[in-house]
Amino acid sequence: MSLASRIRALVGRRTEAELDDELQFHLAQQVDEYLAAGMPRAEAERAARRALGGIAQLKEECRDARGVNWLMDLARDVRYALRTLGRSPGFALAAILTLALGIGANTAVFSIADAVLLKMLPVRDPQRLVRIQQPSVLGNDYYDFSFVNYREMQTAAAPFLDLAAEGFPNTVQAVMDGARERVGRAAVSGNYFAVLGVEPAIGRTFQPSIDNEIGRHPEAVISYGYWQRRFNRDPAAIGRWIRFGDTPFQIIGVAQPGFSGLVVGAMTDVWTPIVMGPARQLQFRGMTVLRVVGRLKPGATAAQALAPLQVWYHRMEIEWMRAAPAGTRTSLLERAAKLQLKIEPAARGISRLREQYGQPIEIVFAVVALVLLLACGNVAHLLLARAGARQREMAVRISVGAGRGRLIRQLLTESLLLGVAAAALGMLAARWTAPALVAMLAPSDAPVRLDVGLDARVLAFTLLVSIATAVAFGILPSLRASKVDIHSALKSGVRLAGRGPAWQARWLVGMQMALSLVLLVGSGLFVRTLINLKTLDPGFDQHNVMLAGVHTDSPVPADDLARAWFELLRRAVTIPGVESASVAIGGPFVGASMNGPVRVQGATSPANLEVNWFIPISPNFFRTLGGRLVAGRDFEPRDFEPAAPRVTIVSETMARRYFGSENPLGRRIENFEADPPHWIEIVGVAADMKFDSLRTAAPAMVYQPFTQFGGGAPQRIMTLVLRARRDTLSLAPALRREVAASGGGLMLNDILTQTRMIDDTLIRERLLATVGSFFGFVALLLAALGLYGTVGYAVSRRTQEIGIRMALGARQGQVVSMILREALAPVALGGLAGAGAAIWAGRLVAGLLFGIRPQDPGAILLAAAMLAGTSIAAAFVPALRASGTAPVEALRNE
Amino acid sequence: MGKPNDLVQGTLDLLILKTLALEPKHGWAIAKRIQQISSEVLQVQQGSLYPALHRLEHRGWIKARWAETETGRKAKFYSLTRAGSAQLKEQVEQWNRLSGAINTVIQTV
Repeated sequence: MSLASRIRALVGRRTEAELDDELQFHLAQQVDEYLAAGMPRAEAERAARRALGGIAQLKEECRDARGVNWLMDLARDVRYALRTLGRSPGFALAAILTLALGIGANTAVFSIADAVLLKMLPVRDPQRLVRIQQPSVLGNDYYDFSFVNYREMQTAAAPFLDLAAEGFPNTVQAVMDGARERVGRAAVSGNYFAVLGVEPAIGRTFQPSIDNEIGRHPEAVISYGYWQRRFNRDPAAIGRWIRFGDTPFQIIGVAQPGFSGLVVGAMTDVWTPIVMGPARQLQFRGMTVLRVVGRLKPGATAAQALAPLQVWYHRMEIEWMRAAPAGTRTSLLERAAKLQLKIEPAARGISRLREQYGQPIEIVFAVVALVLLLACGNVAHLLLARAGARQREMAVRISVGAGRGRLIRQLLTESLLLGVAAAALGMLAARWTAPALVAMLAPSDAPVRLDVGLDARVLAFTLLVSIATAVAFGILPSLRASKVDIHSALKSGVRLAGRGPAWQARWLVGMQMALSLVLLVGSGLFVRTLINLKTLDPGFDQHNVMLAGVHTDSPVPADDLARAWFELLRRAVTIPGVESASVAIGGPFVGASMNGPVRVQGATSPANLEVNWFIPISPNFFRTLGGRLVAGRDFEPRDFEPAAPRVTIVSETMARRYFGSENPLGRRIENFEADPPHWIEIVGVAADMKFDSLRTAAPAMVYQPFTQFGGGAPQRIMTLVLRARRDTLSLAPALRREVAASGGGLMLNDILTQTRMIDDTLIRERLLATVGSFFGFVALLLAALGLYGTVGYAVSRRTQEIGIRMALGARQGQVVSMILREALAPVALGGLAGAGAAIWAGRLVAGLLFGIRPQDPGAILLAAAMLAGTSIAAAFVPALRASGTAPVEALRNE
Repeated sequence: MGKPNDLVQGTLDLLILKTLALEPKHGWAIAKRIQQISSEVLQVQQGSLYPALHRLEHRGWIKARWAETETGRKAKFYSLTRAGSAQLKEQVEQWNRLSGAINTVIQTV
């Protein structure tokens, strides 16, 4: 009874002590009475004890009376359930594994969804935090602010809002004690920790006043996680020096546990002051790299706080627009007056992950929830079959006085045990799968770091899910199992006959089929979307193309630098395996160097402010990428001579936009770069290329010789584009040598294949296609197993009937088709319901699809065919087995 | 479960409630009182009293508090609650109906 004693401890020591005292008092009174009657003390005590009875037993009875009973009943139910499950380990294992799959998937996805979508920042009063952004000139996008902006905004917003700023956390190289390591680093304003309400765990955080003292505070605050990982929580970390580039920073404090910055998906290890950044960046108004967040002052509303900022913004924009060329000024000013700053809650932090993957994560969540429902269905099948087998046990228990409620409770306890065991196993699985899923979210050059550990929230979620699951799969079978006809059940030898599977099992099969069909249709749509995007022609040949970032930090003279780039081009093609080379600023799926409006010489219509992308390139750009020219000529070496006339090649979309059906060749444009304007002659038209996203139309492109871009100043950072014979990064070492040998202090940063870069834009699609099709197949498998089990069970109960039919002359084929007909009726109904549900649910994912409609009949038919095929196979096996039974044997089974 | 020799469980509950109707008493006193007023006919086994008391307390028909007896010992005194009074009234009525019916049967047969 060790369990009982543990429960006793639960009930409380006080009650126990009181019970003791009460009985002791009774004994004392009785002894007194016997003493008064003249008994000797020893005998009086014995007699009193005798009169009271066995004390231990008495106490137990009192506890019973006090209602410790239900707890004891529970303990008994648990022990009984453990014994029962232990007797059929096969069943228990199958049930637990099936559920663990479902629960594990849900736990993993929840831990990600929680980290990305739900979790509040671990700061003081996160609901009062807001983020402010400024609109782009065209009003279709939002940007952050520069340090100059931030300082002005701070003053403007002061009555209602305390503002702080943070640069985007980057993974950078740090040097500590001569050892190199990669850490997540973010530059922050001096008041960052104070405004957020993040306390130091040890040491101190930055002083707000440091923002006034540019370059004078080489200090660093590290995160608690980094302190733990790197310093083993040694307080001596304070005072240590950590070097970024050439600047050493002294660690002054550790931030409170759990805080790793505002950006979800990029954990910061080290914070350094913004004012330690390059002075030029700090003074440049256009360097909009700082996220500006604020805490509303008590009583202030977001609208109040925004008003003075809006005034500041318009004044700044108007001043900036005054510098614009006369031709465009009016329309730009009109636009600027309409632009509004954006203020939004920042309680859950800032997250590109949330914007990009919020919906996919929700969809994946829905998928795993459906899979869990399917798993519940399968376990319910198992339990239903057991319910049949346990009728006699139930009948015995009812006949010795157990109520139906008591039996249901007992059966639900069994379900709960299965659920809890599965939850434990599932959580273990989630520990492995959650990080793997997170890794899928990350492009190759920017790892996503998310805290997806098993915290209290995840535990609570899993516990809730397992209980809900246990009830979901347990209630139907327990109702059925506890409803027994005692008389027939107890009569031995009576076969419990019935036509086909019980209605519950048929209903379950139908539901499972419907769920599987929804999942199959969904995964079909996502797989097709991925295929459509991957086979899309981006306007160039992405295969065997490598992109390398090359830059220089050295203060080389302009002429030397220009020579170095051409030297690099000459050397690159000497590397074995390289067929062609070109340099560009930006490039396909790298980004543009600049975008903005252009003006056509002699055009009478008002300036067209649509955005064009400017891509400065070297010779051989189109040849290297496998793009083509549709009109005019490619750039030639003479276009790169110092005094060459300004020329450009525009894309088809650009030509269409500005010239319609007219011939653009020989026409001249300008991009407001200079006043008076620099006119640039169009010498060629290039076929459209997709440059940032496969989903959107190709942008309007303006290609220029890189030597003519930006007033001819030499470029310090460019993308080297290589076409090789194979898609391989193995040329990196040779390339690194040639880059260094080209002079000008050129260095190779990183090298990626073009295919990989394009793949990185398809993370969402790949995630949905992979996870979707994996769980689509799991769903199909679960549904097939459910059907197989149900038909098998039904058939086994009808062996006798089948034997008689065959004895009376039924052929094997007739028996098989009879069983199949009965088994597949719920499949067909469920499939129909599923198709309806899939069409309905399709609308929810329409935005994520490409080149396929959510109601695509092909996708639905394909899914239905898979479901039908699998179901027929699953039902056919037991049907065939049943029809193979010799009649004599079947009847002897009696 | 308590197994009073001569009493069915329900009867013991009734006797306890009735005993407590006058004034709060501790367990020993309740046992004594039942023996006394039934002229020693009803032998309540002392042990069976306590589970019954705890059961009644758990149901909210009686409540307990600790106090000193006249001899200076600390004892647990039980008293009727409002629900207990109602219960007593109902049980007495039931008993009267039942015993009346049994009397009728015995006397007419």
